[in-house]
Amino acid sequence: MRSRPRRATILWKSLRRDRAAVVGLVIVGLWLAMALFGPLLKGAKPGQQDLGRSLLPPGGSGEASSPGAAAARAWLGTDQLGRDIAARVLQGARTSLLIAFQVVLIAAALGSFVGVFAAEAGGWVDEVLMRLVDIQLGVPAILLAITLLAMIGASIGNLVLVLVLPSWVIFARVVRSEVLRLRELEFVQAARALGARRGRILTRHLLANVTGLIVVIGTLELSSIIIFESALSFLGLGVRPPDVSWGAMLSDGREMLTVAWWPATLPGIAITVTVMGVNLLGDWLRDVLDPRANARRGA
Amino acid sequence: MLAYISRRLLLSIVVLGGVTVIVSGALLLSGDPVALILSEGLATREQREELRRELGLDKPFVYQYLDFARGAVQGDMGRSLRYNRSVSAIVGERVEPTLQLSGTAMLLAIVVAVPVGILSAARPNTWMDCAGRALAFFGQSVPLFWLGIMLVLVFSVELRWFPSAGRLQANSLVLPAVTLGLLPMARIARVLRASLLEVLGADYCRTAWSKGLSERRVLVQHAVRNALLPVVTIMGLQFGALLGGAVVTETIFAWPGLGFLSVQAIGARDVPLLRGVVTLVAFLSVLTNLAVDVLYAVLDPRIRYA
Repeated sequence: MRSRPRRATILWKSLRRDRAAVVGLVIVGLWLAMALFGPLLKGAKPGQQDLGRSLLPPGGSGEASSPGAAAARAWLGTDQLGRDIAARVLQGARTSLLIAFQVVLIAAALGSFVGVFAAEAGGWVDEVLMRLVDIQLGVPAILLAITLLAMIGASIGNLVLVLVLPSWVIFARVVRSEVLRLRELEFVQAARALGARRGRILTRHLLANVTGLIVVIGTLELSSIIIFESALSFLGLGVRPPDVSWGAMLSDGREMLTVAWWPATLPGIAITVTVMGVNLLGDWLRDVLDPRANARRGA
Repeated sequence: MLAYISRRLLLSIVVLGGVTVIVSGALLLSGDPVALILSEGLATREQREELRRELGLDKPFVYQYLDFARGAVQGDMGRSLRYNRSVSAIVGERVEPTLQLSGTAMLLAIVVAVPVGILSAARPNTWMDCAGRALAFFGQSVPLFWLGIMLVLVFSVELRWFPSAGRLQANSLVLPAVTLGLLPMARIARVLRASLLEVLGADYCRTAWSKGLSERRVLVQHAVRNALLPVVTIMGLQFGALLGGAVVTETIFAWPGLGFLSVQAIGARDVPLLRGVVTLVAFLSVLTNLAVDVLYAVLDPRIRYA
């Protein structure tokens, strides 16, 4: 029968047993909700400067910016330009998550396509594609990324492009080896013996069995892309003002470290909590969707 | 064995060639470096043409790349635009600090991760296991640049125990090494625990227990030795990743290594220097991967025939 309803049931059942997964789901869900609906909230705007309210500590309200106006409380404090950190963290969630999801979707699509193509084509095509993968994996991704970004210029579009580069190879490699393995299994051989066409075997038997694995890798890639993106933005080569990102906030906050702890600390907590949430989800998905992962990868 | 190594060696050369082509191509996109050195008003057209010839920029890309590759093989990677010194000399000075930093980080990671991983696996689902797993999970999730800043905040700004930047004092190494070492520590601990748990469930370990061997002997002589293979792999992979992590860590702590140099070269738009740094780091990382592959084949004879 179809595997889809069964998979959903398995996921739901295991979710009720796995507390860590629930925590991960809640964290990721909350961040997504904040990223999507944050701009609808009333209150301070992320880009609004107010030098009279520079470096207010968390919870501080400072003096009213104009006589008569009530001093708004800055729950997470303000940065050196008097911008509200809470509003900026929300805005940063929007930027970072949007970029990360985009990158993972593109990388998964591209990588899976190349992986299946290499496995199906075989021969020199496979050889060339896999050497391309080796080149990508052979050098630290961040070094290639900063070189490329420095040369083609820092913008969100270029950032997505540069982040896709080290990511698609992961999908390509895993999908390729999984397709090669599946192809030799009896049920595929049987389908072939029954005269199923190549395209049908590919979609109904091979791809259908790789999707779980792609979801698992996609989740794990999501957390490393979030970190990667904030590292690049931290170095000033990723998201740049007026766009707000957690990495760039950290870099600003670092300048103020001797005066104020919160501008550097709070965006970092946002990154860490998000990544933890995604990792919890990833661990759970791997346990459920890819039972052989523990044996194959060792962890 | 020899066939295996030579195949890996060939692959390494392919990877190095590919990386340098990519980087050289990217540099071509960056526009005219001559315009940066000799600006319009200061130099005549003839002077600019001459500099372009001197840098080899008047030739097609393929020739430029081949010139660079020929030089690089002989240890000559051109001149830095900013420092007006040989790129090889500048880059050479930065190798030692980077190796010192990543070596210390790796050592630190292993020294913490091995006992944590063993204790976790030997007492699964106890508080020790939970603490070990929590540490590993935290290490995998925290971005290292933020960790570095927090360490500076606590240990340099507040407590004043360690310097926040530079490499002048003996204890300058502490904070960057801890920052850089946390991620490999987490990965190694996780892999060691998983691998040990699997081995401890194997028949020969049950036999060792039933022979009445002490826990210590079962663990050390039977389990750990057989659980090490995936750990060696992950260590090798992590060492390559350390060179990448060093870019960010060195920038935070102004550590005078290759990573910091690459960021400086980008800031100064020093194209030949940047190409030199990337080439050298790629070389180091390819070398590490090669060493791991060979070590792996030595440890596990099955690999050689695969």
